[in-house]
Amino acid sequence: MKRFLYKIHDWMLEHAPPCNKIVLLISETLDTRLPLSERLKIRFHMTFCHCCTRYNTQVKSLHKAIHQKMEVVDMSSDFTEHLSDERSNHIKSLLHHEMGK
Amino acid sequence: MDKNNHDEYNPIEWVDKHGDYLYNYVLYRIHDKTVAEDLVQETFLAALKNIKTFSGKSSIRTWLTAILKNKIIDHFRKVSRELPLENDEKLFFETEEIFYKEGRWKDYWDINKDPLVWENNPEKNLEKKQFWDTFYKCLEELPPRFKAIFTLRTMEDLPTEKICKDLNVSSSNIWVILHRSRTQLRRCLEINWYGGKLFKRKL
Repeated sequence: MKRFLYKIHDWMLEHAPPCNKIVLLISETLDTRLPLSERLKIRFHMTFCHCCTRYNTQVKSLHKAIHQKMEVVDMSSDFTEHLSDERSNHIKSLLHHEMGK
Repeated sequence: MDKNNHDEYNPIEWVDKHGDYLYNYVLYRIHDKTVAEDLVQETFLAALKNIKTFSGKSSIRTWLTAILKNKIIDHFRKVSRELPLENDEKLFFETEEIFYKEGRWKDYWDINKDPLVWENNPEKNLEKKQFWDTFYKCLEELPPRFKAIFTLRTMEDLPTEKICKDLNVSSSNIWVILHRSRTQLRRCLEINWYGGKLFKRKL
């Protein structure tokens, strides 16, 4: 029975678009809304492919984490990095010079 | 503009009030201290030059950030125009290597290179400085054009149409570049943060 199920699994996977096409579509879902047919292709493929399912979870989680990190940085007033005094003074003197023109 | 509020509209004061904010903003996107300082400097000078265009509808910080965003795009435009395509080609081969090249399972994941189970997802590592240090090291490994497009799309949240126009990339290429950047970053984090095995490259 197990063998038979494996055969069905492999047959289904072979008749779905291959992984290299699916990972490209997965990436596109992060940037645009794909047509229903493309979304169904991903769904169908992932039903049988744990590798693409894992890839999907990981790239989406990374994408979300980067967004959240940027939001935290942009909203924060507790700065981890500081403009050097040297550069800060240089910018001020440039502005002074420009304002005096 | 409220001309009575001299401190707020004095460009010299902006450096102390907004300098660190702008510096952090750009540093988290470009991760190069010298470039970040240069872009902040250019932003202040451009703001002074265009101070008459500031309507006062938004805060000075929001206005300065908008100028800085354009400076970031200009920087990436310059970088991606100046550099050769050789590195882009190299990454192409590395990305394609994760799939079988022949046989019954051609174009399916190579079982020695497929995604491993991650102990925790990146969202759980938001506060960990080492995670982000690793992430930026991985980002640095991308070819400059890929890094530019990935940063503008994922960190600056620019629409792909604008990136295509600003960086002179075709709409079909941008999907492939974003996909390859993500695949490469995912793999790099897996090796350097999650402790996955490095597979032998055949280049």
